[in-house]
Amino acid sequence: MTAASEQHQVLVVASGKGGVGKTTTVANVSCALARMGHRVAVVDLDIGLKKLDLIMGLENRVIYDIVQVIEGECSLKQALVKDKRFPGLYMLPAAQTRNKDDISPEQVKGVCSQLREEFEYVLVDCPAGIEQGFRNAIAAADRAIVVTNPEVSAVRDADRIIGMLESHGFKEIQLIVNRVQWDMVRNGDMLSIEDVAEHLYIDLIGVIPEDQHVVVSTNKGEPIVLDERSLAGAAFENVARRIKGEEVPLLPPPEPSLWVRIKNFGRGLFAGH
Amino acid sequence: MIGIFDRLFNRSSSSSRAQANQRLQVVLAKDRCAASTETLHMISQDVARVVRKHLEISGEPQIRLLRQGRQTVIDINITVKAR
Repeated sequence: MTAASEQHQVLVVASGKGGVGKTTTVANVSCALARMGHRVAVVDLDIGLKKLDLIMGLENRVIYDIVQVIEGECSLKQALVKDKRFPGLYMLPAAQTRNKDDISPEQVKGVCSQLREEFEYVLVDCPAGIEQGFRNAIAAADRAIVVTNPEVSAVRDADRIIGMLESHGFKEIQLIVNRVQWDMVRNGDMLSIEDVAEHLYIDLIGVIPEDQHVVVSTNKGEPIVLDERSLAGAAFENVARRIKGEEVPLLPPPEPSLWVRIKNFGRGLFAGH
Repeated sequence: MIGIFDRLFNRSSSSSRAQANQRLQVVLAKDRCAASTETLHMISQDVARVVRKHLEISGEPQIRLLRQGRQTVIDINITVKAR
């Protein structure tokens, strides 16, 4: 390892449960870091079920994949897809027609140590589950970010993943609670950030509100961090800053929506009688 | 800061949020210690047998799983018979 690359970081983004927003997190945090002028590589390790290329809008530019790099069919440089929107952002695609067992943790370490030489941040998109794909994804990482939703099954799976990361010797494990619906929390119908943090007992690095803009930006293959109106975009941007070590306070919960205020007003009227 | 927002609003035990918290409390303690209900029962019986060698006890030992941070603590309550 060269002196410069010692400062560089490999982060794995994991969750256990699928569909909680790992790939969206990887795509947006990496775009935010690249927009701040950093050199960033994202690695899709969800071999057989790749998504990152699509979420990032790079699916038409993929030529080679990580399995081909490992098997020596192409160089790492050839396989990296450059994101034209940001000068320092590159993606290493997963293979779609192969399996997670086709590569080993040692091979992933080899690829990531090469990436670490050149990139300040290497973000690894971990597949759902706790099998080979998970072991591959965590092999090269210095720190881990666990994504969960305020929902019982996602929290349970996150807890399992945190336990596994701890037993693999991870010292720095941080939590993102994604898809928070503040109106539901206020009405006692959703776990709060505090509840989730109390159950999982690890440091919080981000809270992302539920945001319909995410669906729109995913449809278009554009990062949500570029959308100025999006609360989720601002929250992902803050995660990127915290990854860099900046102290950024959590965004305050937005004011209750008009509809919720009307409902609560109604409830107040009846409660008075 | 978010804690303040939370506490301003209802946290009644009948809300689905409270139910989710209670269920997670139990399920995470169990998941983390990887012991079945049967194993826990056997542990409490074994401990009670050791205590009985020295003291007279009353009733059945009570075993619970408690959480401390990310650790699970096995809590066994054995009542000593009054003289």
